[in-house]
Amino acid sequence: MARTLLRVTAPDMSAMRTWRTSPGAGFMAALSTATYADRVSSTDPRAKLESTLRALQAARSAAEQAERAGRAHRAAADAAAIAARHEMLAQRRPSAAELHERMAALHRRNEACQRAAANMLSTFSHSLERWAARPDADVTLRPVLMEAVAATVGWQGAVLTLNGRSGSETLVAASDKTTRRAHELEMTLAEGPMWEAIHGHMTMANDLELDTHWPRFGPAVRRLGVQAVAAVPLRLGTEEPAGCLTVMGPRQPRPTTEQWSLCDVADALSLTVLRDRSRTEPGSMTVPILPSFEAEDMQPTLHQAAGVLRERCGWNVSDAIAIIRARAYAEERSVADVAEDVLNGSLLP
Amino acid sequence: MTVRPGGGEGGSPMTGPALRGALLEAVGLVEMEDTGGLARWTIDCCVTLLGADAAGLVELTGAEDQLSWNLTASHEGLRDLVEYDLHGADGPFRQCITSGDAVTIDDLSHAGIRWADFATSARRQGFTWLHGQPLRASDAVVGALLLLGTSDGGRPEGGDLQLAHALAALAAAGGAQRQVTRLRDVEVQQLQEALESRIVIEQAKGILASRHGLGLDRAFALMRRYARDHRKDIHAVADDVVHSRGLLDSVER
Repeated sequence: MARTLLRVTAPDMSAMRTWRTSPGAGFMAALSTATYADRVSSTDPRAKLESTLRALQAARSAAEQAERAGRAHRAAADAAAIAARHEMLAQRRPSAAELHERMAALHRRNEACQRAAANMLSTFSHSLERWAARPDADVTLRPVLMEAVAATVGWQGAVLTLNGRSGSETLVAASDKTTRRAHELEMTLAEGPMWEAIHGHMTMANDLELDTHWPRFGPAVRRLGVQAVAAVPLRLGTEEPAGCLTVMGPRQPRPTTEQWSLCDVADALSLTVLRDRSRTEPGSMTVPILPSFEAEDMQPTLHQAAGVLRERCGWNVSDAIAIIRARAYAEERSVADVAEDVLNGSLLP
Repeated sequence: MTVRPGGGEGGSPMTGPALRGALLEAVGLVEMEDTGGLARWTIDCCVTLLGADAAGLVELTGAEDQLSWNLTASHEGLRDLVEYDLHGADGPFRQCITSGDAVTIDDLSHAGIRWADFATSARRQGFTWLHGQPLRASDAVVGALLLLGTSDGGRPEGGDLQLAHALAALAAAGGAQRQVTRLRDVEVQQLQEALESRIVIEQAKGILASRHGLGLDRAFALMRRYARDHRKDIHAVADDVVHSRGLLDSVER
């Protein structure tokens, strides 16, 4: 069974031919895992096969992310070359110095944004490759882009949110569970750094400032061990912020030369990563809309559960979502866990 | 840029500080991504720096077979003239755009002129000369920069013509940037719609699963089948389910 299925999935290999970058160690390791699965008859061949396929997919994503990182890197180098020319001209022609300095600044900003994108994409690519190479790769620990985003700005956690036109959240991508929970607190308590960022204001707060800024959110998020937060609006080239990037951790990172500014990373996300979309047919549920993000980032369980509650209790969908959030807050659990209980019927209102 | 400030032999109004001020203004417009502002800036430069009495920027839109265009003009009167030229079978600006070469008429009252009807209309508005400079973007002509004057003294020559060439290149770059911005706006909107659509589909899955005692996958299959059978978009079906438009209330399984 495993043998034939593996053969059937062989077209995965054909994708290799179209890769521009070298497949990398992760792919080779995943390949050897695949060979291993094919050779050894495991007690549970199906599980073995599934884990192999996941490893192959991760290795393939790693290669795709490396290619994206390469593109951003080249764009950064192009911007740097133009900026350098203007800087040279500013020196050489004092009468036009202001003009060239401003042009140089314009291109340096673009360079910083592209470098930040290249950095987080290659960090993501490397961690995917390492994960894929592990024979016992645990699917719940599969690396996500937001971990690389957090590492790029030097904060412990990062969460990216996008808002739909109706004001509801269409994407919530978090680096880890604590960060996701902290964001859920913001949503439930209707206060926190994100609420200021979506109105166009950048925010940063530490320790007791958290409590004075946000009397309900501050103490709640500090109970999760978060002592520092910052948020910037994400514009996606639109007038109004379309979402925001929030970072947090036990402390504010010390500035180092290795880090990019939060604004550079927010620009990198809106100008490169979020513009990289899969071409999906309408209604196709198998292909992700944004290839660098996870299916869970669109909160499918929450919305399915809201649908169930609407049918069962006659609430409208946004009330149902608010009730799930409130329940999660009261029980100190994640929204997805409570939504899961609604779906499997163990939570009846 | 190869233009020397103060260049041009005919006593050009272009001076170093004026050119520098104009360029700084252009950088400001680029920083703000104000492409409409850049088009108006180009026109202003033609008048203030090149000494034209009227100037227009024609930017072609749409496909090749149907000539549609946008005009940014220093004077409203120019619109009729450009329309007359571009909608007619033949005219100097049309010639400039189709050939991709600059067109200059030094004397619009010259007898035996190629575009006699056009020249008469132009003279009626007081113009004595005109110059058309094509706008190019990667080999294709994307429009034209038009300069017209009422006195022989203002005719651009030498360095001024080079500056007109540079202005046309800048205007073409501005137009290309506008395309990029427009495309980005469309992409952002499509992304928002795709994400919102996904949410509504998940909610509808929950509703149908609960209504008919199905698994979520079966609920989705139900919607997909309904969409196919009724030739509807799956998002529209999900939207009807969520907004209780009496869809899929009862089903045969």
